[in-house]
Amino acid sequence: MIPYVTGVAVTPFGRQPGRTALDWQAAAAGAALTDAGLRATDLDAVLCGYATTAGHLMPADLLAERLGARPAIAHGTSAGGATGLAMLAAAARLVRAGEARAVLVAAGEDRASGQSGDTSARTLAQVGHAEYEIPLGGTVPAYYALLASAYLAARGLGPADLAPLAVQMRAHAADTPGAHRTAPIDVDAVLASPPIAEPLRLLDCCPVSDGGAAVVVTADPGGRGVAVTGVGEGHRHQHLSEADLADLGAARAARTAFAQAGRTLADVDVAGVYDSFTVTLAMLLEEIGFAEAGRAGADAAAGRFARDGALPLNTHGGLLSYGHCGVAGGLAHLVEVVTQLRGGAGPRQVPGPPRVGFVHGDGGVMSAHVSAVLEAA
Amino acid sequence: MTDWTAGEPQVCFDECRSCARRWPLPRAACPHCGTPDPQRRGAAGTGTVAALTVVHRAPEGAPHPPTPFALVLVDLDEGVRVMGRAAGVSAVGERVAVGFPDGVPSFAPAR
Ligand SMILES: [Zn+2]
Repeated sequence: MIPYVTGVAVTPFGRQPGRTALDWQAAAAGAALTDAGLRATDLDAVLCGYATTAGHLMPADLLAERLGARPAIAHGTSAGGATGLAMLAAAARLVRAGEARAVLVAAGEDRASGQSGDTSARTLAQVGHAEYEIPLGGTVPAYYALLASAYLAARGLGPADLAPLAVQMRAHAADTPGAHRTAPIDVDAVLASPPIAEPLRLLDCCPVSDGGAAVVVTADPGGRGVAVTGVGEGHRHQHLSEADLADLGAARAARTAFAQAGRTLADVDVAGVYDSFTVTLAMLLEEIGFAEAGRAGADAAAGRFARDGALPLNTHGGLLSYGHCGVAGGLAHLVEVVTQLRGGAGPRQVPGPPRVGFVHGDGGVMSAHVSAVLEAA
Repeated sequence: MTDWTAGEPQVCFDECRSCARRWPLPRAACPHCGTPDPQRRGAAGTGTVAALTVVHRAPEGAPHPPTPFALVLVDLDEGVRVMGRAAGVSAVGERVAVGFPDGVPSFAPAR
């Protein structure tokens, strides 16, 4: 049984006070159900990502009740930034196994306005080791800055070589309704932005947003379903101190997904790859094999990841500029790739039309990896 | 063998009793061969900087020194990578030695 994504939705991202995490989840879920032509009562499984502002014990049951669903299966899911695609993978497995015919995957959070910036930073820093890392004072940007330092040193590069990735994401967001950050930037602006954790500066980092995203995965392809032809995961470490920078798990996840789909990297027409920081995107693109070692930034500068480039990437603007509200931030890449494969992206439609899509999410400090291959009907 | 997390001025690592592979954080078993109960061993505290960041923004209420402060990943001479604070370190590749000025490992250029 091939699983199909038959409904997608993403809300605007940004600082938008007045809605709770559950409100964002329900808004996105309702829109995705409408897009799929389903009612909540049609769902036999609901998967919902955690929200740091809510901390609820059972977010999928909570959301199901709000929506009016009474599914046979309901699970909250936590795998950091990889959660959205981990839920997609779980949904695909449920449908393949015949355990469910209509699965809702949803996430949303008032991450920007539902808590202070300090609270958010302290919560996220808990991906560090409680005894061996957190007491040193690190933050998530600091952990990724250490990765950036090692990445740049190993390749003989400098911060200016990562900046073009931020510039490309911003250019994409400028054409995307609902994007959090849309003012044009260039490499000089990235390098002149305030240092957060050197070598990373403000514009190397995604903003913190409010918003939601959801998809519906079904056994019935419907009129314009996008097939989920492969999923794969890799979980090699939790903490940066234990990370093998030569084998983080991203390539393993991608290889599994491509093998299931019977596809290769060269088949990919449009991609969505997790980009919490510029270095995140560079390391993922290079480990997965979309860019040569040390070339991700140069490829971005050359236009390779533009909508009319060889590998259109994060065409909604990614976490770096569409924004990041937690789990829904990683789901937004999936929503965008499905939209592109349907040919429904309007003014930002990738020419072609694209037939094969790829998405990848990263949680923690390059800790949890999930890839998926998607194909137009 | 106890380390700085228990108040001893010492950095430790795990070593597999079967395949002799080493890693920094305490685990119940070797991730390579599965042998349980690895040996906790002490490190000399010297190594080479593998990554360096200067942190300019850190949240109130978290355990960090005044900003800006430096964090490093250090490849210890015993072959494991550990995280620490740093003082006076300027580049990846620099030789460093550990101290415990605030009860946590802080690496400084080796003399
Ligand atoms: Zn072993």
